[in-house]
Amino acid sequence: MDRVTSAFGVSFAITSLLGALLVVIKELNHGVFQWMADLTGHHWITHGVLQIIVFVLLGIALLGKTPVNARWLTVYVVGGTVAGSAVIGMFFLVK
Amino acid sequence: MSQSLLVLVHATTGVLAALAALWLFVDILNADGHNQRRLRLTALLAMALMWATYLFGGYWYVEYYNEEKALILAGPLPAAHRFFMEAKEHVFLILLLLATWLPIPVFRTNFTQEPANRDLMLWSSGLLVLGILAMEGAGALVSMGVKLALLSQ
Repeated sequence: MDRVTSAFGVSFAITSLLGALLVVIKELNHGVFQWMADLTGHHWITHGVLQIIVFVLLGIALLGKTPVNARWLTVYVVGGTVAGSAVIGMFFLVK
Repeated sequence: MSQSLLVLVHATTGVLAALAALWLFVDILNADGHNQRRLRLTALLAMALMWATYLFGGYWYVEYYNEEKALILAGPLPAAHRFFMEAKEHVFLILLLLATWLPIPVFRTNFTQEPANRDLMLWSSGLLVLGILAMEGAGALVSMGVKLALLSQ
């Protein structure tokens, strides 16, 4: 598997899960929510900017690692998308 | 740009992004080396449309949504905000990154001869289509929440 595709694919999967985790943390912790809101003027702007920065930096950091094969990368990309979305959906469903 | 126009552009670029991702999915199914240029253009188009959707929708959400949110929460369908909008605004960020990543394998991997690479592309573009359609559905329910709130006043 191509090194750049693998690095940023894995980065995407991890970032999706971290983004979902950040949703839970900021919604349950008013201090974190307020800090995110103060940083850019709106918590959602901060959330988006953080996810984009983590995606890019983690992708660059993973460029030096051995690429995963296409089958595992598919599992990571699909798993990251589905698990991240499911965590967010379930959280707001039970909140 | 007016509020209504912002929402209209947001929803339209979102639908166009779904169509571009669907086009990509179908073109990958039929990838044979001759449609490589079109595949690349379609992947870039899906990414650009998702970013346009993010910027137009994000601007509207940050600048104008609070009024509608208050209406929805006071109306008969508060779940339109509490579940659908809250989930939509955060799941969208995952889809935005998926659309941003998608052109990388389209440009850099050989998926006409490698079935595993082709499967990766099919799963990724297919998920993007389904995810965007879910976002459009959630957006429609948010609009319904506002309409029901206004009708009940």
